[in-house]
Amino acid sequence: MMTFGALALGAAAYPIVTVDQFEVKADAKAPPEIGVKLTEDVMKKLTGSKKYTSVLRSGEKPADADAKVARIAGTIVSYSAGSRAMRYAVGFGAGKSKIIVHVQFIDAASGKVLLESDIENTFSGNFSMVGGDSSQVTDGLAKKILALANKNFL
Amino acid sequence: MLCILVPALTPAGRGQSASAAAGLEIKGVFHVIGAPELPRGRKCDLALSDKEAVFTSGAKVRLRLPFTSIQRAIVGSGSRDRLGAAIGVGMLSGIGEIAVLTQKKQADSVTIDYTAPSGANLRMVLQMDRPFGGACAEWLKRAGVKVEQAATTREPAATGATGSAPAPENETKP
Repeated sequence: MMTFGALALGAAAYPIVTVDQFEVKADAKAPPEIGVKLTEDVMKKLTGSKKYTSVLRSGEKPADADAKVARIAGTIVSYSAGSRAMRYAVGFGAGKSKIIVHVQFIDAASGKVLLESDIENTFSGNFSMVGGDSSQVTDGLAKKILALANKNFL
Repeated sequence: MLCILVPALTPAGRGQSASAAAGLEIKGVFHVIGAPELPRGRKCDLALSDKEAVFTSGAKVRLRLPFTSIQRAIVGSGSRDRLGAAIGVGMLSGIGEIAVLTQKKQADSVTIDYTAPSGANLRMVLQMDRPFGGACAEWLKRAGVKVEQAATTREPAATGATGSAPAPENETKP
């Protein structure tokens, strides 16, 4: 995980987080559902952590207009679906799917980028049914995004 | 072939042009992900009128999507695993599921960006048998929805590569 421009956020806490739809870079060769699934997974992880008073989708307005809001936006820059058959038949990392996402944490009020990072994740299909669907690679990535958010926003 | 293209001409519309009074019904549309009202990874029926898209599952209307709430639709090609077939073959043959897993079901993919009543910007991904994606896109275009072709479309290889990517507006959408 490479992090660029990490800022010391000090005591500034962002109790409200807005998640933009993750876009797919044209040459990333990722199907559109991967971006949507990543967005859903990040929303789910942030909500499930119960560390934020509100987790909103892009376009939704927070109940408290004065609260500090952080926006999470990102682009899938690289994606490889791997092979489900290989994951199922061979295992041990064969046929693994891989994703790299450029994610940004932005102060919603000022538009200032607080933190940006390239995050990578792989999915080998362990403990999954019949090798697991390639899109499950986004689940682990969402956990990493949550960890990054918790580390810098809480 | 599960999709059925039904030009649902009303008595008043019989003989008129399709855009004037006809509806377009596509059965067996696979909702990949995106719309909270629709079950993920399940099939539903899609009916397009001149004002809205209606998604039904069984006899129940799950979602009514006015065309005015749609920002854009992106048409491309997609694929998905033949998991049910793989499991079935595996149960019968023991190892035949590996051969089935190397094959993918090819389909047209339609990605719809829309705004929910709550104001949330949502994106749903649908797959439908060929050539109904084109028919759906044509209908949306005639209804005034901005329709784009996916930026890159490639045929998935037997090793598990998948479909298409939407045309990027910016590297990171604000």
